[in-house]
Amino acid sequence: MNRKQLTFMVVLCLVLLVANSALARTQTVSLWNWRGETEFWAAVEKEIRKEHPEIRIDYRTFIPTEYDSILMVGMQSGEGPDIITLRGGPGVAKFAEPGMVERLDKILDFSLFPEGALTQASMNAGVYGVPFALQTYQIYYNKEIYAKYGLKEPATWDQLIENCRVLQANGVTPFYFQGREGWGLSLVQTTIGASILGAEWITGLVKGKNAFTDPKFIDSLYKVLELKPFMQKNFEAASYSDMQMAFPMEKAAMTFGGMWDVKSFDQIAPEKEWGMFLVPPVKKTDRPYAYAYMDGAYGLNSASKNREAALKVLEFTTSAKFGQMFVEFNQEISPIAGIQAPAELTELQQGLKFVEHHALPDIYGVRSVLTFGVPDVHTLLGAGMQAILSGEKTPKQLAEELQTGIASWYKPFQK
Amino acid sequence: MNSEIPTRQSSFLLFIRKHNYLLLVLPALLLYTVFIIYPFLNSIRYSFFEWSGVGPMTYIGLGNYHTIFFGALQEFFVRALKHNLFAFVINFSLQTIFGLGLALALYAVTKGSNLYKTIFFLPNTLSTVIVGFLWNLLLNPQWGMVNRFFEMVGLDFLSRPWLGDPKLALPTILAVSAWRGLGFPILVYLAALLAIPEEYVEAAKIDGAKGFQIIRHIYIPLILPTTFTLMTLSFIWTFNMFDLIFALQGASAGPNYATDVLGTLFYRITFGGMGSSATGMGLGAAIAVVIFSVLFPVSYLLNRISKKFEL
Repeated sequence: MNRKQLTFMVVLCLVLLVANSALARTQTVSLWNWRGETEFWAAVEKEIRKEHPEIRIDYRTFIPTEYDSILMVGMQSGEGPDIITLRGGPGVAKFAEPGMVERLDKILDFSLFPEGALTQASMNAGVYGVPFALQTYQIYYNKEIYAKYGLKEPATWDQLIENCRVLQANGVTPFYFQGREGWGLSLVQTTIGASILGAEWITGLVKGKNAFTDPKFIDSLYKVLELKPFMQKNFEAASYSDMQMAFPMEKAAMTFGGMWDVKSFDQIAPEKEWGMFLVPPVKKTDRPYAYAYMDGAYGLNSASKNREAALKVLEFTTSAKFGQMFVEFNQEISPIAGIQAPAELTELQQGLKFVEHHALPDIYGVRSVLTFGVPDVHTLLGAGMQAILSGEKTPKQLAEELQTGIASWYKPFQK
Repeated sequence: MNSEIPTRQSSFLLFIRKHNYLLLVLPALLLYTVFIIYPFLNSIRYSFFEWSGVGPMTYIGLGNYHTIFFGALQEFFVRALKHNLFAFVINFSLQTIFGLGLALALYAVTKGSNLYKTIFFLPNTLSTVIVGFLWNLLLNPQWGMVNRFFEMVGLDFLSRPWLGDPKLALPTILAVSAWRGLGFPILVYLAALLAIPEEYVEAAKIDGAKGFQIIRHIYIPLILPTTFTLMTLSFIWTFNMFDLIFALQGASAGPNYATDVLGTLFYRITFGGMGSSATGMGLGAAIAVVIFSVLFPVSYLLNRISKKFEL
């Protein structure tokens, strides 16, 4: 070996040594969810590395409807992430009960979280996840189209139907409706139900005093059918992602959507302006309500090999800084107290008002207590709404199916 | 005593020398045992337990089977089974009619037959995910080419919610499956036709047989074993059907379970996720055992029947 070769070998060894040391110091925390937040978590990593330069976040996103099954297989095979994004309510209990996620209230500071926000991330008085988003579902409308035909946000259900008639008479599709995905239909029904049924009736349902078979609930199912003539052609085959594209492309004047959709709409048509309103009640004197729920929480995998690093990331997610970043990046509502939405995010400002002044105290669909057993209301309602819209079932039949199904395990329904 | 040990060793060595093929088979047998036999037997074991997939397992005997045949899953199981049977009938009919028909046409073609074979077999080379993605775009109710075409030629009434209508969703998926899979029966039938000795056809022509008579009295009887083989394969494929439905409709197999088959039911029950009415690894394993219990005897029977028609 000559001098040049020897020098090259020495330099190579030194480079490898330094690289190995750097790699050994780096702690990569894996995090999975269904939300498509690659940019957001890159920004979070950058923020965390200011104080903990050794931490890297390996973020992976999955299709929402397949996330639960992929997560379960991963956890079972020991290949689950360090930080698991748990769905609120039963999603937390599923992993907390067998001890697959660690209890966090004795490790992290949850002082910035209201008690109500922590409830859906808790089991047996222990908190097993850091809640990250409050979601609402409402009706979005194209302000330009509304202004063109002199329409105002409806104060009653009849005014909403009248708005639809005016739009249809002028050749505008009133509603772009996704009819293909059951979970979205379930959310539509509960959004309509929130205002049509009212807070008191829904609380009575959850406590077992009211039933799905009551005429009031059956009427709320008929309300969805009242919108059917105003939906786009072949709505039954339109998917949720079709809706996320079609509405900002002005294929319809209105659509049902969640707070998480604002960002998609703005990305496709940044020059357009959207308004949003809660489903109006039947009577003007009744109050409209928002179906607001805790989307999920970040849990710590009990088998994590990077526990200390993962805890540092989770610690950051309990901070006001994280809450502010979450709001600004995702344009969704953070459960952390005191987080303000920037003034230019008007839809988010509106969403915050919905949560503050119109949120249902008890909910009956997704993330509610009626999803803790099998069959759960969210699944039954989703498939059932498809059956109603296709004419395979009547609203009364669906109501009976809901009541019988939930009563098979939900004690307040068992009389 | 010392004399016994050399005898045992030599017996063993003698055995290995006599059956040395076993050594050659051993690696493959080991792999087969680890990746096929062991999971298969383990699945049967799981089917007797209540187990969500995480946490402890609880022995419940035939509880899972009771749930499938008489309990909360009965309606779903019966519906999925009906869909699988429907899929088999449609799939087999399409592959026999179009597969055999196109094979006969290719048999008669002298120029360009290789090009046609390539065209017919091309969809078969695409992965199911690609096929699902492609047809999702084509069948999109608003901007998909299928509905656009019908609207352009004035056939608006044919513009339908193909994957959203409970009556149309499964037939649509089966049509997509037929489009993708038709290449295989065409090639198999063509090979069977090419294997028929020319003398039989010439003898038939001498006896005055023409066109359809030759097809009916010579080709069809002689390719009957091939038809039975394809029937057996069609049965196995349709009863294992999962990937295309998953790609087009997801595990919930909507709308309102209109495209639910045993494969999607198994996936949903085993791995959970949206649309699950009951979940559990043990319950999923029981469904898998039931699927196998249907597939194995029927496939065996079809295979035995097909041997009777061999010359």
